[in-house]
Amino acid sequence: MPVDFQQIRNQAVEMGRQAPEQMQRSRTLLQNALEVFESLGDRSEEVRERVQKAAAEDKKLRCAFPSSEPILDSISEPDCSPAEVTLAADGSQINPSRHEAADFGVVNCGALRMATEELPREFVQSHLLYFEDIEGKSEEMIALMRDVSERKLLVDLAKEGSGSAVALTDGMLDIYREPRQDAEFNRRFDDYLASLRALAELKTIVAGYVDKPRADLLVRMLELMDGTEEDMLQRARERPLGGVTDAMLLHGRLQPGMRSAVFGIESSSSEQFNGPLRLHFFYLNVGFENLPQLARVEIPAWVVEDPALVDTLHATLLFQCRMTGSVPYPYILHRAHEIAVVGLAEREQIGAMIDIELRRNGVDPGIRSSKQFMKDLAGKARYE
Amino acid sequence: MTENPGMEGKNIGYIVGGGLRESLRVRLTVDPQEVQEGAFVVVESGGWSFYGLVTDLALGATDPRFADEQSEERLPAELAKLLHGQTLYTTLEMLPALMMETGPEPGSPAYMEWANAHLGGDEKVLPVKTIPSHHAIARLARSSDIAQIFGAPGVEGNFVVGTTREQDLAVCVNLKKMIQRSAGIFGATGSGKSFLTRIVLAGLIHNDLASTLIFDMHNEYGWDDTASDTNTKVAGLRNKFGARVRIVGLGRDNTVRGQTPDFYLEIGEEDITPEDIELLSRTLNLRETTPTTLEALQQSFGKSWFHEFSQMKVGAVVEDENGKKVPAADSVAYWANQNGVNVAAAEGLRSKLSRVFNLPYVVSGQMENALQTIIADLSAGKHIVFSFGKHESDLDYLLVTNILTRRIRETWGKRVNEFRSNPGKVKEPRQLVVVVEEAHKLLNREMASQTTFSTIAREMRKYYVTLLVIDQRPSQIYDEVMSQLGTRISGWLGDEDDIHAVLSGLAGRDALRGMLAHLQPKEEVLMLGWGVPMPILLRTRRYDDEFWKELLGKETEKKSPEENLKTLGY
Amino acid sequence: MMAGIEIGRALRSSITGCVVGCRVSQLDAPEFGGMVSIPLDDGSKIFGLITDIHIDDDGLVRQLVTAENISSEVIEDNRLNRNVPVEISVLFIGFEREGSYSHLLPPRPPLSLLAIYPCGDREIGGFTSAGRLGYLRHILRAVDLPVAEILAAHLRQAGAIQNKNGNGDWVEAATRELITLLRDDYATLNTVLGSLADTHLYLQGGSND
Repeated sequence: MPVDFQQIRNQAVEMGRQAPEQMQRSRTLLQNALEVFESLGDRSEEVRERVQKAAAEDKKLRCAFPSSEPILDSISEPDCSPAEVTLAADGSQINPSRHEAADFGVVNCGALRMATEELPREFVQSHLLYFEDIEGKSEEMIALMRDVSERKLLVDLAKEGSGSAVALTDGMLDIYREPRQDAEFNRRFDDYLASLRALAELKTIVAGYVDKPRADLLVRMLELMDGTEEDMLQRARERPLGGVTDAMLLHGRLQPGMRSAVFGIESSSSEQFNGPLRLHFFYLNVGFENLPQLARVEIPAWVVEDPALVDTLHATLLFQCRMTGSVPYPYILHRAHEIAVVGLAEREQIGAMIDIELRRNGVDPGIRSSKQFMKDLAGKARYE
Repeated sequence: MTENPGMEGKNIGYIVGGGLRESLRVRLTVDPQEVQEGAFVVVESGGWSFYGLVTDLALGATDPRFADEQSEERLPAELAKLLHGQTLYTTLEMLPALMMETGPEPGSPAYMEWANAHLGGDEKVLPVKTIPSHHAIARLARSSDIAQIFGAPGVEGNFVVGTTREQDLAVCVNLKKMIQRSAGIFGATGSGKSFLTRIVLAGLIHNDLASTLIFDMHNEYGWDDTASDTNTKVAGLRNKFGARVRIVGLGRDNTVRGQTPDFYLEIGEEDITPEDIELLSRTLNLRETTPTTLEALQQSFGKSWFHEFSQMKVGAVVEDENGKKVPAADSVAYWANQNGVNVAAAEGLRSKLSRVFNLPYVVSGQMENALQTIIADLSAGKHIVFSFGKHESDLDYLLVTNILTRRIRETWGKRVNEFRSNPGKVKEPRQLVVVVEEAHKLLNREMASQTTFSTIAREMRKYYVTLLVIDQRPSQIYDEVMSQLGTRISGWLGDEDDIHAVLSGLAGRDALRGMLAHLQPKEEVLMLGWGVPMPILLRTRRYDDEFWKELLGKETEKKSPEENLKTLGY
Repeated sequence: MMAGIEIGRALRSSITGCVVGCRVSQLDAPEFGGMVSIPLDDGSKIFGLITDIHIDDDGLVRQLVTAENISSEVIEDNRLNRNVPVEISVLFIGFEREGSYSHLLPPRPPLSLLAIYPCGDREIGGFTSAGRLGYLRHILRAVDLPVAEILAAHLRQAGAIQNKNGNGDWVEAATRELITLLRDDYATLNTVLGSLADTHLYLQGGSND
């Protein structure tokens, strides 16, 4: 049933009424945050120490800490060329639905390999999950399986060729999940980390590209610094700068093509992502003069250690984003997504295919659950 | 020799509608130009063959827009042709006339049964009583069809009068049957009537089926003539048949085309009856009082009334005792007064009749000898061409033909009665055909009751005399007489009434009206009526040397002296 | 029998036709009006004509054209790799079972995901020669389809094969059958003849002189 628009409207009116005040409040907070940020100019060491201390006491703390690059640095587009080889992988999944007749899942990974003066090449890996594969598996597990598949595919592709290479995925590298006792979960997670290590060994620059970042890692760092060390944990809890994002913070500070300094991520996941895999990030303005657009790029520590690699990544990302014109987004990621994506139509086709095979072997696929049946009633396209 | 050897028996279309009352409608599957009005068409359906004539052709379209639009301009030629083949068509109307059972396919099991049932019987040709089924195939006639209906050319009694227009197949008429009733040959002036007449007469004479008495008003039939338009020689019956044909001239010293007739005939005064004079009412412009006057004359003078009347003078007066002018004894007035006849009427009549009295061939007494000779000749199987020579007026024609024919018919009538009473002892009288031209002058409504001709026409063959009328104004002929005519052969006619007249007495012939108006003059005729199984459009055969050769054999060929010597063995 | 390369797979279907989904690069794209076959599991085969090729909107390409310049790698990637998502509409015209062709509609529609193939010369020649061109009525019955264009494309394809097989009068017979079927529909007949005229099938008058 559609919403009760009358009810909604009343609430929208109220929202509109509150908006200016909200606006003002945000502006004030941002102003505060900027003040703090700009005060941190050459105090990287101090910040690092405070964050370390805070993290030791609050395991749940998740914020940025400075790297060797000065906090307030904005780095212009480097002179170097983009990587010779750029890889991107994306995955798509069909979750098993206990409502469906023959239960199955699909993990579909797609990748594109672009190399200078070569025809880009597509790759697909499609996995059908059935019987034991899906028994008792949650959607999260399937998602993890997908993440693992994406990286494994990248590893396979990275093995070919020489020269500089960048491997991109959409979203964070930190596939942070609640720690579990689930052995299989841990096993798969280990596989994931192994892929990242393999890519490191292959000297392929790994990065995760977050398109519309809403992170506030820097802001939380500022909260720790905005006052005494004693109250810092309280501040971390109370969130005086809550509502301000990193992107807002850096909005006016990064010109088109510029990146912020690299920061490390302090979080509980650093237990798994340790050593050369320790996660870092930087912000990059892939937008235009009048329309800045910030992306957050996650990279492992070993990339950060070599400034040339960061530059190559910086140049590659800008190169890729310029391809899509007015809405900047790495072309290769877009393509990888396109190759990987699975829709409802495919789901139905696969379902039908499975039905046939089961019947062929004398097995009745079973009936759809009533709930699914009712959901399916509307919207089935009839051949015209 | 067929002009279109591919045409004989060619399928031309299929039945799509129509019925017994209206004509049948045939959808043409060939180009319309391949079939013409009057074509003889055969449809086979359900064990029957239907024979008929094409009476109309009409263009049609499945949708009028196909006809309106010149799609051959828009589309490639081949495509337009395919389109037109399906959407534009010609329908022809076929007037069914006859049908005949054809039975099942020879060789099929049903055929044996059918053949046994019909064993020994002639296949009968019937007037059409049913119709073919939808989509029955219509085709042009084959020579076997023509032979089936009209008779095969070689068989005795079948005389070829012409050929079908499409395929040049010979069409015969059974002359014997034809002369069983009076017949007519019609056509507008110049449409070739006299040629056709010559052909028919040649056939009659050659086959010796009847004696003919031909009233040759324009001196066309006896001796060789010259065609007015082509200036070619036209053979005369006398030239071809020799002594079998006798030329009789009207009045002595009357030459016909520079030739002297075999003998001449003069009309005796005593041969002329009042009825003969009444016949001339219009020609002489006689008044209504004439019959009364004539009767009085007959009363007075009996057989010699004519002579007596001719001797009377108009306006002759003498002076009586008192010096008063009174009618002379030999005056008309005198007689009129004596007999209670109106003087003015009598005098008027006398004046008008002077034309007749002055006729050079009207002589005193009777015409016994010449008449007897004529009768004898006719009885003996000879033929008389009665030439009028220089006496070409209507007056001559009307008077003479009527008198002669009356006398001859009387004779025949007597003989027939004798024959009928004593069939074993008395010889059957010879069939006689009296050929009259300008028949409308003798057979119009006014005179219909008065002339012998109408009597003959109505009597049909009772007394072994029939007519062959030749005329260009059939509408003037009394329709009762017209309807008694059996076979009618008509060339082109332009007048609606004339067309209507030719078709009178024949049921359901509206379809043929258009055809008469479309005949090619001098080339085509429509033959229909009692003596003909079904109406048929013909291309008349040419009256030329070829015709004579075919009719008489090679003897008529004029041989050179050298050739003659050769045949004699030198 | 030329199996041909699979065009795509059936998405949804009915007794009268189906929609095929596929990704084909421009080079291999099937032709409008071309004849296709769908082999069924029982060994029979449904035949159809392609009546529509629908190429969906591509958001990425729309973005690419807004960039300042497009590198040659990206152009090549789009030309050769990125298969255009295509939906092909197919109109059924008959079927083949146990070696004989029928111009009736198939008794059952194809199930989803059955593969579609372009027909080979032998199939086209065999199907269009069988019977009395009855399958044309399926094309004429379809509404909202460019019937004239489909017929022109089909006659061109089938006509070429028939001529090669020595049946020079097939085009004429098919044309005649169409005229007969459309005799009462002047407007449609006109349109159909117009498009047939454009095929140049009738220039030399065929080999049936």
